[in-house]
Amino acid sequence: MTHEEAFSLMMDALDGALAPAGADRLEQHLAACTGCRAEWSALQLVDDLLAGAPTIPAPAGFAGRVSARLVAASWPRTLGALFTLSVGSVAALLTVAVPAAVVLIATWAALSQPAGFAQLAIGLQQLARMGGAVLGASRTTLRILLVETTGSPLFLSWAVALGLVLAAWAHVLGRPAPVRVRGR
Amino acid sequence: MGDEQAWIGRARSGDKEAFSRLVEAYQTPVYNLTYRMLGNSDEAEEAAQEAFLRAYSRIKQYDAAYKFSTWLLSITSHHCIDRLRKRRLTWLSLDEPLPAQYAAHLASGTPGPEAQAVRSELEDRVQELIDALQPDYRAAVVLRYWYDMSYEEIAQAMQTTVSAIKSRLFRARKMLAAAQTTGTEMAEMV
Ligand SMILES: [Zn+2]
Repeated sequence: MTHEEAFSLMMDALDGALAPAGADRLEQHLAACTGCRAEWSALQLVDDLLAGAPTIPAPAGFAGRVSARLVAASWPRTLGALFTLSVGSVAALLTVAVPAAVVLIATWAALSQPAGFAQLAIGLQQLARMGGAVLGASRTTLRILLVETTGSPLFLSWAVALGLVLAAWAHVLGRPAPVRVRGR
Repeated sequence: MGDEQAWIGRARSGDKEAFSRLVEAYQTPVYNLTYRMLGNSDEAEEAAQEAFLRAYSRIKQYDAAYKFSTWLLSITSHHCIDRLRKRRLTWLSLDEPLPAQYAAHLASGTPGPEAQAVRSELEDRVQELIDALQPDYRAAVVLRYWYDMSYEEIAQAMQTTVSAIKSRLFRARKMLAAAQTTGTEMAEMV
C-alpha cells in the first residue's frame, strides 16, 4: 500500500467510516512505516483537539443588538423610497403642469383682446386665428421659458435638481431584480 | 420545528418580531461560527450581527426544502470568508514551511499540572491551529467539527461539490498535523 492510500484510510478512520478490512490494512502499513505512523498520531491529536473544543456562546444582549439594528436598518430605506417617490411625482407634475398653465394663461390673454372672443363664433377664420393665437402664445411661452428664464439662477437650479431627482428615480425603478442563489 | 417554520413564514412577510425569535434560537451557532472563523470576539460579534441582517434581507430566497440552520450558517460562513479575504494574510500551505510565529505558538501547548490552565492552553491552541488555515479550509473544518455536518451538508452550505469539500478537509487535516509536528520539533530544538 502507498502512503497516499494509507492517508485516505486514516481520513476514513477519523470520519468513523473505516471498514474492518481497511483497518487491518492500515494497521499493517503503520507497523512498517515510521512516516505514516508519525502522521497518524499527529492527525489523531489534532482531531481530538478539534473534537473536544467547546462552542462559544453568543455574548449577553446579542439578540437585542441584532433586533435594534434590524429596526434601524429598515427606516432609512423606507423613508428614502417615499422621498424619492414623492419628489419624483411632484417634479413630473410640475414639468407638465407649469408649461400647460402658462400656455392657458397666454391664450386667455390673447383672446381677451377686442378682436378675440366676441368674433370667435363668426367663422373658421376666427378659429384659425385662435389657433394662431395658441401657437403664438406657445411660441411666446417657449421663448420666455428658453430665453428669458433659462438665464435665471432659480430656473437653472430647478432644472439641475429636476434632472438629478429624475435620474435617481430612474435608477431606483430600473434596478435589476436580485439574482436568486440558493443558500446565499 | 413547527414553531420555526411559523417564524420563518412570518419573517418572510416582514415581521421583525418573528425574525428576532430566529435570532434568539440561532445566536450561539452563528456566533460560534464567526468566532471560530475570525478568531476574536469583537469581529465575531460584528460579523454575526451582519450575518443575521443579511439573512433577514434574503429570507424570501430561503428554500424550505433545506434546513434553515444550513442556510443561515452558509450565509455566515460566506460572510466570514469575505472578511478574511480582505485581511490579505498568508495562510498555511502544504508546499511551504510553517511560518515561525505559528510554529512557536503551536509548540507552547505542552500540558502543565493545573487542569484549568491546560484546558485554556488547549483552547488557545485549537484557535491558533484554525487561524493558520486559509478561509475556505477553515470553514470546512469548523462546519465539520463544531456542527457535525456531513460532507454533503458542508458542500451544500459552501455551494461546492462533495469532492471539493473532501479534498479541503483532507488537506486541512494534513496541514494541521504537519503544523502540530513541526511545532513540537521546533520546541524540542529550542
Ligand atoms: Zn507510509
